[in-house]
Amino acid sequence: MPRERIWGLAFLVPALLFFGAFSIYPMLYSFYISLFKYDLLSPKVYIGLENYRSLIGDPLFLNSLKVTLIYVFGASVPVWFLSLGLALLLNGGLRAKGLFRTLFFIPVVMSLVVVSMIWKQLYQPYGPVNQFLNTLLHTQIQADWTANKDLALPGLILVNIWKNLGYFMVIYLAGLQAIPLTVYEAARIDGAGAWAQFRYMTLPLLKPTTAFVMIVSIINAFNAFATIFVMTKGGPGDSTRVLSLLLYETAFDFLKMGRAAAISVVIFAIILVLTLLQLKLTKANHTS
Amino acid sequence: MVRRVVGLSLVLVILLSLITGCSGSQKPADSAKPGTADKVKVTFWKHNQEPGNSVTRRLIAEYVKEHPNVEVTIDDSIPLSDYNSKLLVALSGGNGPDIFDLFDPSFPMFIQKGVIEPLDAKNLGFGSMDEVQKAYIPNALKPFEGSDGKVYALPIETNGWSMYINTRHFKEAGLDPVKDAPKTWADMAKVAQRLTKVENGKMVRAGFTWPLKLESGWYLLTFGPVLYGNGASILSNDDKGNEAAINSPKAVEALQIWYDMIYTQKTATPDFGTYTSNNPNVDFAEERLSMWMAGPWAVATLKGTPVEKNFAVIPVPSVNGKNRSVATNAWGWVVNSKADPKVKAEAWKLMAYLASKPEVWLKDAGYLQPRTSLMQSQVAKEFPYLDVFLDDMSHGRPRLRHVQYGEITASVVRALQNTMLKNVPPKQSLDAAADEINKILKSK
Repeated sequence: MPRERIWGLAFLVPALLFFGAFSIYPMLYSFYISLFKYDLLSPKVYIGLENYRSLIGDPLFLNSLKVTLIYVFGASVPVWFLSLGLALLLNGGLRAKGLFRTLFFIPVVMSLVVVSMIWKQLYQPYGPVNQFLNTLLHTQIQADWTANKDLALPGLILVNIWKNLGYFMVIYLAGLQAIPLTVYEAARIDGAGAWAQFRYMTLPLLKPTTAFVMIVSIINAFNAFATIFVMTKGGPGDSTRVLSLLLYETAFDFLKMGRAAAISVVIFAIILVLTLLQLKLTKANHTS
Repeated sequence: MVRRVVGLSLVLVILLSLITGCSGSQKPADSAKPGTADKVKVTFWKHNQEPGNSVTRRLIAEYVKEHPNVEVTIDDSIPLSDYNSKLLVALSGGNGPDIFDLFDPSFPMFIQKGVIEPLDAKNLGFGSMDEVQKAYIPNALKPFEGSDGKVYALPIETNGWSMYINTRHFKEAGLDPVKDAPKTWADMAKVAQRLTKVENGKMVRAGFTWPLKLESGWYLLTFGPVLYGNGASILSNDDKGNEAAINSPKAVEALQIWYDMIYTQKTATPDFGTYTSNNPNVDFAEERLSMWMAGPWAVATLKGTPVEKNFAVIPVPSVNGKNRSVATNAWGWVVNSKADPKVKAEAWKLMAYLASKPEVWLKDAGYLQPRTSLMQSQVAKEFPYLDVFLDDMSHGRPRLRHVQYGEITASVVRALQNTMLKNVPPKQSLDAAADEINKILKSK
């Protein structure tokens, strides 16, 4: 083996060890304990696929799956369009665009727990969100968004969008700035207008960025936990009990570690399928 | 050559730092006294809550000063929401603390798994367990009893959830806080209606509300008096059976009482209030809410608030004026059964010391430790409404005691939320909960 390759591997070892110990091993261990009945305090009992079988037809799990899919759709799709729109706006000749970029990015660096506590206050019956809506729409809303069956899930989705928008905006900004200006110059010479340039030049060239934004935003939404745990704990009823929260409750409130591990494997499988599907679609579009 | 040595050293440094970083070296939150090799080292965990943390640290420091052979490492940094999960993970990994606090619903499971040790009367400084029992008021140690009849903890705090009322609001509404204090839940609704204030279509003051926005524990502590007081229970045979009874006609009536209070008598709106689990008494303290249920611990939280001089505590109402049922909750100190025998012996002695200062706990933390000696003390005499709290506690009933407490109560709370926040009829919510509970009991 060439000496450079040995050195390369040597430098990779710390990262590989870290990744192996804190990502690969827990993942494999989750698969392993999903085949056991295990309550943390007694020895594990092997039960094969029973934990998976019991999830099928369990109304709690199915409800959580439905809530998760709504949450993921609501928290990721708008972000794709909004972050692209913002990036286009802040990539142009807007004044004080640096300030706006910073303002939109601030929520990204804030602690999730702090963000959740702030929004919980904003959503109070006489809080600023209701006051704003009542002034704007001449309504009399006095609901606490986190305790209201119709508003709790949209409220959480809104927080997720607000928190992550800045991050995806920055990704799109990087994508936009990587497109050579000569491409647009050539298009303008050929008589392409602003819309045609966006439709036929910008969008296709942003395809890898878009694929990244779509995949990462979906994964983030699937893994959302802290905001929901702090703001609603899954309530009212089961209105906001996403799979990650059900997983936590199953593990630490109900002490069913094997079943919780099975839920984590299901989440992993769903994310994997969606990611592969998106990559395939993006690739197919690219080829066509 | 030099480049090779430098490169190799760099890789070694990274590897070493990684290995030492992963070695789990634990920095104690507080070491009460620097230790030497011959000292007995005791680890002590407590969920993070002031003023309890400060009192604990102060008393442990005093104990260590008197017992220089003991070194106590305290971790009181874990918030309540994470406490149980962190404790379970530590215990399952064999790194659990030697002495820790535990709340009453956890006892059946911890006892069944053999995680905690029954009280050791001798090391606690008593002649026998009878003497330990006699040191506390009757039934005070019940929440910490196992099905084997043994007691596993000494109480840190015991709470009966009584009714706090705003006397100024009563007078304003032409009510006498003593004469007109509600004795039944029906009275409660009528009085609360008179205390409720609506201005320009906005409810600016609620007469009474259930803690609908708080954790499951609060639901159970406030639904319990109505449920058990109406002769119903969560499980068959007064919670001792192995079948759900939460959809019995009496239980449905109890939930109907809950529902009517908010939706029929409109004593509050379903999502009224700015209270959170960090500050559950804020609406009562700031006089936006006229009546609220809480334990003796709440007295300390009302100091310096607008309601400080305008509140009284009255007994919890009953359904029919006769069968009063009051929900109780308790925290106790326990000893890890896996601890080294030498450490265990010291842990019992430390626990005995902490439990021997009930006046300090009541005065400085507002924690009511039901020791018989406390009741005659000056501190107890000066504690507001202690007679009401104690009288309520004599009708006390702890929350459900079951090894599957977490799962069963999650179903009950879901049913309560479905009715109270999603308008599902009580019978339908409770039927669904009963189905879930029966499945849970079978999955044991």
